[in-house]
Amino acid sequence: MTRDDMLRAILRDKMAVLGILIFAVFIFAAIFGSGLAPYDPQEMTRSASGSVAALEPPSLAHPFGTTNLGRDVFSQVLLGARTALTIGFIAAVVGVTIATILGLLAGYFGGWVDNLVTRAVEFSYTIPAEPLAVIILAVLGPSFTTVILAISVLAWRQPTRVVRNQVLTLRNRQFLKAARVSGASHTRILVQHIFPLTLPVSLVFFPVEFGSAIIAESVISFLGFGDPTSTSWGVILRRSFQEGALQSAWWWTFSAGTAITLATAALYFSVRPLEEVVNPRLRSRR
Amino acid sequence: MKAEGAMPVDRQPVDNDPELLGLPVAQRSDSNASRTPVIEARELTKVFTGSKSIFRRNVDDIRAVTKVSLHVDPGSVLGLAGESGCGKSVTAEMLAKLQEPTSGSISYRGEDITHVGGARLSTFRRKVGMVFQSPFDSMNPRWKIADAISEPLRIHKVGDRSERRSAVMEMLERVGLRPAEYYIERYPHELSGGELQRAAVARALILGPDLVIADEPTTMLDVSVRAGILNLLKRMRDEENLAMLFISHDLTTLSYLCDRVAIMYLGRVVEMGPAAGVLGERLHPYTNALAAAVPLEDPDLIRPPVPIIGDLSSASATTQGCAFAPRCPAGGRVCEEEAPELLEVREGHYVACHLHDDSKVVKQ
Repeated sequence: MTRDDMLRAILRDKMAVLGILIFAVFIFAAIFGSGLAPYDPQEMTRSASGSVAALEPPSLAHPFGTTNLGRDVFSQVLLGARTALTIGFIAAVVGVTIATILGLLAGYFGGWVDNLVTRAVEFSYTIPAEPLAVIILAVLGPSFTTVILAISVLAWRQPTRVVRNQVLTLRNRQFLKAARVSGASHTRILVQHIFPLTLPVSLVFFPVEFGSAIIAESVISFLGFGDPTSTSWGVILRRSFQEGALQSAWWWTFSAGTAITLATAALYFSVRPLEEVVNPRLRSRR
Repeated sequence: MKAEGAMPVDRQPVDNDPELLGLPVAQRSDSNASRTPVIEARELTKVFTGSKSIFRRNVDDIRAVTKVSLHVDPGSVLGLAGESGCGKSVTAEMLAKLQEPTSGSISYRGEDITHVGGARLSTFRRKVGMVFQSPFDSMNPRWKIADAISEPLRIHKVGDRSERRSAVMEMLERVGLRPAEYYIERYPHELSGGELQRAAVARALILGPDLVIADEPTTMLDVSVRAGILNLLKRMRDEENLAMLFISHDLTTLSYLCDRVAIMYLGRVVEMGPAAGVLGERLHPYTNALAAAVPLEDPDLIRPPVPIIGDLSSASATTQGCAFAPRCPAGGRVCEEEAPELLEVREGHYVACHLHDDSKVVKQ
């Protein structure tokens, strides 16, 4: 699959285009959020009468309403986008990069390398992701770096397996034998021949892992194990839950929840046509 | 570009001068050709080890190639024939150093290369080209033809970018892909099987090898295109004084191209010698059966079929007798008890069959 094929597959799919457009909004918010936010997310806003504007429903002044302490939910969600996207992006890069390297080595060299990697993947599947993340954060203490570590520590397992299988379909191809007869080293064959042919698989997994990381970060923050100083969608959900806002102030929970849902759904939609190209079994009968 | 040896200043650089590219110039005269074979295999054996484990089903060892000895002389073509699964390709891949032999040795121009690596392996790689069976799989689908053909040059750091390009152009012309300007920009999926196989030949020859191993290069091509590839290989052999190992299961192809022929059955060489002798006399019953399977040009000509009975024996079975005995129309008791040795029955013509061993009595 060439880059053109991938682009064409995406543009043919209306949901994918919609997903990309929605996610573009989130990227915009992540980059310019701090400039666009009408209030400081920690500021206790006051109404015209001078009292704290606590638990106000959505209005022009507060599009997503306010919290029990009079904080502007819209500003919080806007700034939460930066946290979610930064952590998601880095975790996806780390996870997919490790997966690509492990998958290439395991699939190409086989033998004990393959055994080691395959067993490691199988073992990692027995570990539940969120409890492991919680343990890591409890031991290392919550911070931006440790949250990324806790999320990406298992983000490699699925793409590793798929990249490895893709390499297995390639390793006995004649053009690789031809390259070896010509004197190509293993490194050369891996980097110049095999890697470009498995790259689409890695690229498909990038948004998938990105979305999973956003959800994982929210879960960790919601449970209270995240970085307490960060403005995150999970933290917003946690506060609203603690204040029992589900009954009294739906906008508080709803806005952060919608942000998480939209961002991850947009990522999955955008990559769906690529997944179909890589895995023809997903193709719907048209 | 790194120094490739100082360019002689008093010489006008010519684009397609192979010496300028650091390519060895083929020796066109036979006068000083030594008697040393280009490549020689001695008792080459390949066993694919099965697994014996309490967790899995036991898999027996597969003896893919058993004690194969053969050699290719400078400027001559050795044909290797036999049915599918007889070990032709494994033999070829061992000779090309793509697979490690289990035992036996390989020497290149008298030098043992069975276990070489590093710089000496690299030197060997420069001198050996290979053409594979499937033209549609022998080029990276994402690479332009020109990049595939020039890959050996890049690996061995021959010439700079423009020198490599002109070397590729010249090679494209020589293998009949004209105009070269057109083909140099093509991707594999844009070419036909015949064109791709010509490109594969170009890649095999770009470094100026003195041995080409061709593993069934015409099997997957239409009959109409086959002759073109065969003629190309024949012409290249003459022009470059190439030695060639040519694998095929098609005896007509072998008789057209080869000086000597070796017939393999179940991993062993059963008959080997001059092409005319082996294909004409067909001393081994298996050679005879293979030859009888060749279609005749005249549809009215009725030829008595040479029956071979039963199926190919399993390569994992350890038969003590002749491997062909279960299927042999002429076999006797001695064939089931004793494996025949490869014996020279005529000048340079070897057969492994008790029928041609005067010390054995096959049938009373």
